[in-house]
Amino acid sequence: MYFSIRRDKKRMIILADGLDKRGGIKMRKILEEQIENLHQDFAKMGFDVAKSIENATNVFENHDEALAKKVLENDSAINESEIYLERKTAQVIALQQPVASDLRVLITILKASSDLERIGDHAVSVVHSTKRIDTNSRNQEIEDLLVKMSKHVHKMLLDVIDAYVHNDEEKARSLAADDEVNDDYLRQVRRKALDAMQSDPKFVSVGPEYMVIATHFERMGDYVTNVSEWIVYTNTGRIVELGPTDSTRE
Amino acid sequence: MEEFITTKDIHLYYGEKEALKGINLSFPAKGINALIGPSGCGKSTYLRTLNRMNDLIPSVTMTGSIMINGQDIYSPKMDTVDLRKKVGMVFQQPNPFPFSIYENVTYGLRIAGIKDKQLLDERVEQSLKQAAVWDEVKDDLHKSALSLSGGQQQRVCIARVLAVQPDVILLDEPTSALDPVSSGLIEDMLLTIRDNYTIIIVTHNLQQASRISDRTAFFLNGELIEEGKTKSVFLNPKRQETDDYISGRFG
Repeated sequence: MYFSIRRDKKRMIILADGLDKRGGIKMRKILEEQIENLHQDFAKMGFDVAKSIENATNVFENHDEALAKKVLENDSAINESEIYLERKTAQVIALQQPVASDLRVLITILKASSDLERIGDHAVSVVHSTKRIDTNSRNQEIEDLLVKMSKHVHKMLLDVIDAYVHNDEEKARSLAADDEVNDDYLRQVRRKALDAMQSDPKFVSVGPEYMVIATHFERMGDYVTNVSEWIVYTNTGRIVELGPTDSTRE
Repeated sequence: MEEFITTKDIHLYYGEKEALKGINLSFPAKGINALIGPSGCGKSTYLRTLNRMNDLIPSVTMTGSIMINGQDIYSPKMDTVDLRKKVGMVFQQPNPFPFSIYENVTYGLRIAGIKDKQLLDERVEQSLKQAAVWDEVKDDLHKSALSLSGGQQQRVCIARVLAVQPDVILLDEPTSALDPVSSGLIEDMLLTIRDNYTIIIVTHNLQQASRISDRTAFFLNGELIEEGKTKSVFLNPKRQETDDYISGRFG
């Protein structure tokens, strides 16, 4: 499955024109093609990770063992994608010796692909945690909250892939605010799990699992924010720390 | 940045054609500065203004001011021979004089009237060592410099410049006629002497500029487009033209 992606950054279009007018350099076209392929592979990896979150959430809701197996298989594919992207990016850097914005794009792919991979790992952990939940002592209210949280993270991930594909710095920055919602969810799940455990001993084993699962989703949100930070880097060359206390380093 | 060389509003014309369109550019006292840009952008012309090599071309007119170490080098009082002792130059093609290696290196000193054999010997050894060619030529100092390889000739030419102990060394594409190993030796050598001289190098080899220089200036069509620390120019250039040029989108 391949996605046709056009990075519609104004600059790229100007450059395409510039190439014609100035009589572009063949080597340059090779580099552009290789970067374009990496964009596609990165986006595909992002969609695979999004699928993992979706599947892990279904496993959590329905305790579907066949689907649980699929999440694990999908994770191996995600790990391979990361290794592939690392290898290809290193190759392009070594052989084409890109600088400036080209180099920043490649660094972003290199760094953000490991962020995506970690999100995939947390989806796997959600599946493992689900297996430890005793189906006789489930708490519907908390589970509903966790499903909402997972859908929020899933949407954040799709949004960050979209921001990546369109090289949309503003959208990337706005996702940091979305991540704060996850902190709220995490607090709510913790409080409700504790209340449930205190009021009824049958929740003592399941309560901590809900808290762990909420932490996994919260970490996924953090990794989405990391990807956003790399999109900002691609655009500006600045390493930023997005979140409640934004900071910038040269 | 403490400025050792300050050039202000340099306009230079070859006849009617304006080759430099108001260059304001400064260099600190020590370190390697790279001038980059496509052919015909004015970078070599600019380099030659720094030791008045353009004076030799009859159709050239120039306005603006160049101060080196607080001295106006275009002042009528300036002696160009003295200037070129302080501001040495190395060219693209190695151009040793058709004398021995020893006589090449001591040429500038002899012109300056130095006859002390011991001092001359010392300077020859010191300069050839600095230029990283001593070990290769120390047993053949009285052989013709023309018998050396291109890379060795170029390093002897650099030693010739170093022998007169200049403040500034101008290099106009010094490695473009050399093989990669000789180029590498010259780059290494520049890195070892960077703390003692103001080095300004014109190069078409962008990797060379990014590898060895502390600061980079990008010229285009007779204008200075961008100047700054090499690491910012190559990773995060401010101007789109710079990004396009160093990324090979035009050139």
